[in-house]
Amino acid sequence: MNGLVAKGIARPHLSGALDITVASGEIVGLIGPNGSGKTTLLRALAGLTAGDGSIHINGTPLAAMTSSQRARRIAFMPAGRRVDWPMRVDDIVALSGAGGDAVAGALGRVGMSAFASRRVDTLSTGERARALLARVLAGNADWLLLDEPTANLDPGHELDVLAVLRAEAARGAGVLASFHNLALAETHCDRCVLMADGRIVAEGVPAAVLTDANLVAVYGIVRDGAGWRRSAS
Amino acid sequence: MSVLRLCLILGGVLIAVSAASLLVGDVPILRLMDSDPGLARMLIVELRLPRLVLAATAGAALGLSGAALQGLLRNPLASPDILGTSAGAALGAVMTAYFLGLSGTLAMAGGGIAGALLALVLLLALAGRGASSATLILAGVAISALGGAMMNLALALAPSPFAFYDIMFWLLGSFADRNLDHVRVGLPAMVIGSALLLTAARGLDALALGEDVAATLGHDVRTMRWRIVGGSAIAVGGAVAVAGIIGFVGLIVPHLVRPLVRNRPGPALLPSAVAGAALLVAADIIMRFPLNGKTLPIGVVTAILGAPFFLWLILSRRGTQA
Repeated sequence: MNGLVAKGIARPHLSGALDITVASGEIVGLIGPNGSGKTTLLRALAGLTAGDGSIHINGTPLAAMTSSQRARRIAFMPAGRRVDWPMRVDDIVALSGAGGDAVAGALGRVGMSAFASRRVDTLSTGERARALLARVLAGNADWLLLDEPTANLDPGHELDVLAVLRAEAARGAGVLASFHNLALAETHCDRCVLMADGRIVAEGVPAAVLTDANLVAVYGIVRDGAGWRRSAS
Repeated sequence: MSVLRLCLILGGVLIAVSAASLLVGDVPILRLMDSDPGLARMLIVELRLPRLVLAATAGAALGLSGAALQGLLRNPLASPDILGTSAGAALGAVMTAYFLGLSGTLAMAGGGIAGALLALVLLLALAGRGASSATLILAGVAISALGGAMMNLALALAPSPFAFYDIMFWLLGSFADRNLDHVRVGLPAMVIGSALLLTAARGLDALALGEDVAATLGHDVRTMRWRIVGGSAIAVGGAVAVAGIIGFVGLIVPHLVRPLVRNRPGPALLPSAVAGAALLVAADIIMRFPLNGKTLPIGVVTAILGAPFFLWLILSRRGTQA
């Protein structure tokens, strides 16, 4: 079966066994309140945690791949923006294993070309987030598992990142990314997966997932003009 | 600066200080070569060469271990001392001298290596297989404290004031009066440990982005962790066993080297080894000039110089990073 296919994933902080599929060329938004299990699921799919369930990439079990094979297939970006040493931005992007041209290209795609030789400790959090995303892009992996790729970004750069992810999907990559910005997920994702309390409670096209009933039940919010407000409970 | 160029420059410095180490001392070797070449040769081969080899390898082992541990634990304040290796080695040497009655230098050196390995086994047992870096540090601190306490107990129960003085002086660190026997005991441990450390260099840069990212970039974080912990225990155990506790070299050297390799922890390893060797050989030369008629133990001098550096490091980090 094609795609990144996970079946029966059970881990601490997840309830029961979860199934999730990401196809090549699509952007899947992973949404849900804090603590709903998004990061746990992303880490499990990246092969970082052991437990029940199976993960296949285009029919090949993830467990049967060597670590370098996995690294070429799957790129993972954690929500944390921490870099422990004041390394240069281009050196960080080069950790993907990419050569000089690919590093420069990836930095250009996130608007960070001018920062290539800057030390990462001199960047703002948002700039660092873009540099770390460039590291993921430079690896040219088939599957991008991104934990809150738009956190810490201003609205303009949020849209830029979504445009970059769309370009990744267009070249055939499958993107699974968690978001807290529901408007962004609604307008830019092909599908959404809504999580609550360690379970997947809805999935499908954004309009089918971000229904009034689901928003009240999972987030405790209702639509209010262009935004949201707390629902009366 | 490229790593190769940096290593060549530091290697040049190491060769220069090594030549000085063979020539400088109480006996003017160059003059002796004219009058009694046989004696000069014996002096160099039997006394100064072992001293040079031990100072260089101990410096390399300490500098390399410090750089590797700082990279692994992602903590610029990490040093070989924090995993309890030095304390274990020192305790092993003291126990060998006291309880086995083997106060020969060779037996104490062997006891030191055994103590370092024992401290490592204890660390593995305490921290567990999948231990995080924080757990490793805590277990190391606990082992250090235990080792220090046991050693003080042994010293308090010293059979004679002379034994007490001998052990204390030995522990303070020195390359004086070391011979080929010390090289035979210490060198293999330091070389094996250092080789193990160098094999772990590849993934250290990726580890700067966290263990998850390093793992998804194809690095086996767990293997890397145990190579560095084991390698530093063996290398530092060998160094302590033959030279006593020489503090702060493992802390300071990586800080001097890292900015020269664009703050990448992996490429800092090899230059840290060469710089550590050059630093300790140079320090050992300076130690040969007595102060007020007394020669200072090298460990005391590195501590006197290193402690203010450590303080500066903490003050410079205050408020910059959580």
